[in-house]
Amino acid sequence: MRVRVRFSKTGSSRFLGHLDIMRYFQKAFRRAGLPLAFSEGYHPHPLLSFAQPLSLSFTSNGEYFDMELTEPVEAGEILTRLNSVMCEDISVNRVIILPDYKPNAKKITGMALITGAAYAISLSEMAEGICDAFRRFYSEKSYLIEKATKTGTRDCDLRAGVHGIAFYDGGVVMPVGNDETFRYSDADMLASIDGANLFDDKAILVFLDAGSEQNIPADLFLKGVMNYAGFTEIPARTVHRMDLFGDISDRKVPLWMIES
Amino acid sequence: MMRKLFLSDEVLLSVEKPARYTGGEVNMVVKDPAACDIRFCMCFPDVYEVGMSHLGIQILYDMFNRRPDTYCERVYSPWVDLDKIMREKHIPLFSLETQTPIKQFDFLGITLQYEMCYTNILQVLDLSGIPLRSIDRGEDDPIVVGGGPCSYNPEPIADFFDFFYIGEGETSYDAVLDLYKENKKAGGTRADYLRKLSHIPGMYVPSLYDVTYNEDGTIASFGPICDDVPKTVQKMVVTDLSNTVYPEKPVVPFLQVIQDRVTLEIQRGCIRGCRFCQAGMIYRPIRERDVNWLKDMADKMLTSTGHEEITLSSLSSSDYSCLKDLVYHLIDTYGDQYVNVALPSLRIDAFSLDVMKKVQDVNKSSITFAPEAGTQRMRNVINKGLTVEDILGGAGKAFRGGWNKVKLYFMLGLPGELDEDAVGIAELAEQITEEYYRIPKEQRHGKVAVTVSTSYFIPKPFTPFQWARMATKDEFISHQKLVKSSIQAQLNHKSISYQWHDSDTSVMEGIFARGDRKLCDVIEEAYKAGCIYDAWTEYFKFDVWKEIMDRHGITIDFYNTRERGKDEILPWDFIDIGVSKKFLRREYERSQRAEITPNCRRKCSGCGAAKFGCGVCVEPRDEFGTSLCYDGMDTGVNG
Repeated sequence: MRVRVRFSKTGSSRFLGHLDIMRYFQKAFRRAGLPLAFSEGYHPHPLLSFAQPLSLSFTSNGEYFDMELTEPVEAGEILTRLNSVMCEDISVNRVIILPDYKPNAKKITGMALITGAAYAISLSEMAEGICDAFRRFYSEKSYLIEKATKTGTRDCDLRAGVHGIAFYDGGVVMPVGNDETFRYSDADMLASIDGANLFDDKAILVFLDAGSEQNIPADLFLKGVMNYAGFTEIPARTVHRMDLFGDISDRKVPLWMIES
Repeated sequence: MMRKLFLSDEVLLSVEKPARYTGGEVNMVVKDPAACDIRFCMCFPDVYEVGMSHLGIQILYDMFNRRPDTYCERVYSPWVDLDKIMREKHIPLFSLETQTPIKQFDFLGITLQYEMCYTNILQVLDLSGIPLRSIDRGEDDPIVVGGGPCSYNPEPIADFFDFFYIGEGETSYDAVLDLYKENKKAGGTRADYLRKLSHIPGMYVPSLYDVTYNEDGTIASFGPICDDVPKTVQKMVVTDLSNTVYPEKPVVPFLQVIQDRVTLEIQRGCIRGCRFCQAGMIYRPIRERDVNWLKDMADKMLTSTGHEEITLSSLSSSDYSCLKDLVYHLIDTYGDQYVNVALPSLRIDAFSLDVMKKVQDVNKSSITFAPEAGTQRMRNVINKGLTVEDILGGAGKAFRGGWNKVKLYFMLGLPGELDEDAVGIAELAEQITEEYYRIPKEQRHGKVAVTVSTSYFIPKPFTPFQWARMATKDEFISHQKLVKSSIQAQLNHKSISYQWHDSDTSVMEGIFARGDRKLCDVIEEAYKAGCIYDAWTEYFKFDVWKEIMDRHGITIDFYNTRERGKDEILPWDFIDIGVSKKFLRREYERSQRAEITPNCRRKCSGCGAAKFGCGVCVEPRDEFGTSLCYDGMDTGVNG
């Protein structure tokens, strides 16, 4: 049985690396008595696939993995059992049962579906003109930056990788412009800010390209906008991932809403 | 309630593996510190991944936290990167659980697992803001207590500790903590507490003892400075290991640590009596845990941790009387859940090969033997009952079972070691390769690979070799080179690889192991000169140590390469481990005649441990004095 799990990573767990989180969940399945399926062969490995690694110190409400169980367990049961064995700052917030792979079909996990990510970036100091800088940036058609690659650098259109910006202030969300923005109900969006370490309960919400095709890290975005607006120093910041998204007929939807 | 981290994100992001310092692991104990009378911080003075692999701390952590009035937390040595930042920014050391500065605790308990961690003890004290020496501490400083194997000669670090707990932790900590509360309630001082503490068996308060020295540097007298303080300190022993505390829910680290598995201690102590082995003497008598208790504990621990592996821990697992029952139970119950069963220190025989075949990939795993010495004469000297026939027979069985990798462990610089003993190491390795090629070609699995490892022998307190001279660095190196050249001169040298240890580290470890209080100054000065993590070869600075020792008139000859006199007062003589000095001396003399001594089950040798009235000492025996639990095997541990 294929299952997609969405979990949050907050508090002290924000300093756990991607590999540690994978090890952590493998042990958690054993504690929860969930029958994780293993690959065949002499060195069986668990059928478990994690989404986009989250940078160290980032918190998140929308972390994902897909797994396979050897026998059916109800989604609610999986959620309850996993949460009964979690550590203090990691908790499972959604469990989705996925349809089985069709025979002979290529086995693609949800993790290959990722095309976008939403972040809440909170700055320790909101210098004058900062909000305006984000607005102006968003009104540009394109903004080229140099992006480091394995072999050197290449030009990258930062603006093209940004699909929405909004300001968050004490529970209120104010979108910048009204073109492509978060395809999220307000309630869901507000819920996914939970667990973020915000300065002054304020944040810049941003929707960025993510995944294997084009990936804009949150810090790259922040640095780019600051450069664009001529700010020389980037203030201390916290970053919180709100969710990961995939495409359904050209619309970006949270991964938990995609049943494949 | 979210725990606030002590270090800023900026600091945490600038160090390697910040999860070493953030706590929050599965099964970490959470309590309200304000509701606890006693705050105890348990420390392993090495990096997190090493410290978290240690069973002893998990046992004590669990035991302390069973007390509603006590909150036990953990701290490990900050790695060198954070160490530097903490010094630069004056950040104090803090506990993992509540992220509280160590200075605010009532107790700091430091486990002493190896001598080379001594400067790390000072690092922990210093970063905590606790005066390095007991004498300089005030009423607001934590009580600093040490325990573990190195506390059996606590003298080189005596000045840094308020007291040492000698023996097994399960027995007397309640008395130690109760007395602390009582003393505090009665308005008693730190000195009052330590004085009363010295009356509890097993507790050694160094400041209440005085040492005088002869002109040649040996001890002239050692004894308490007041009449009410005992002259000898008794080792504490758990008499019933199936009826004691054990951590059913050990803390599960997020980071990949060295022992990332459930550890099941099946027995404590060893019947074999190898003359170089300190553990084999200080943990006497051997005591087994009940097999059903162990099965139950294994189940609880695997369920509470989710670990993928369980390992049996003991000095010689093959001597555990219900081993087959236990091992087959574990394999049958957990094998299909992808739980691996690890079995160190097993004798290679039909049973262990069958088990290994079930739990390991034969193509990848290797067979381990620890003959420790290259010739039969030398093996008799050290009372290691393993014979060439045992090794070749075991290797042959393993080769026919599909294995082709063999690991061999030896010591160099054993008392009375001759060139032929070093050459014997190479010859034994060669004989094993020959054993492999005796198998018909079509039945072989590729080439044979024998790995020979040598470490340098370091005489330890409370062993028959406690009087023995330790070899010099030159002697070590000359025999190491002899092993190497002998291997290279042999026909099958391409099948044998050879690894050896660093000799400078061994020299220093030797000095600490049998050192006295005069070393406290040296250790403090070395620490102040920048020595920490001496157990890590890349940070060990022998030249710094040597220079400081020279300045203090501390010679390698006095501590290591001199034969100690029969009647000399040894720094650790005031500790009574049950095994008598007379027995150790007798064993030393037998070793000089290359005479072997039977193991505890075959025949009691009257070592003195019988006074504890438990374990092998009370097993029923036949008319020849052989224990009815004896399996008839004179061969013990292979690896």
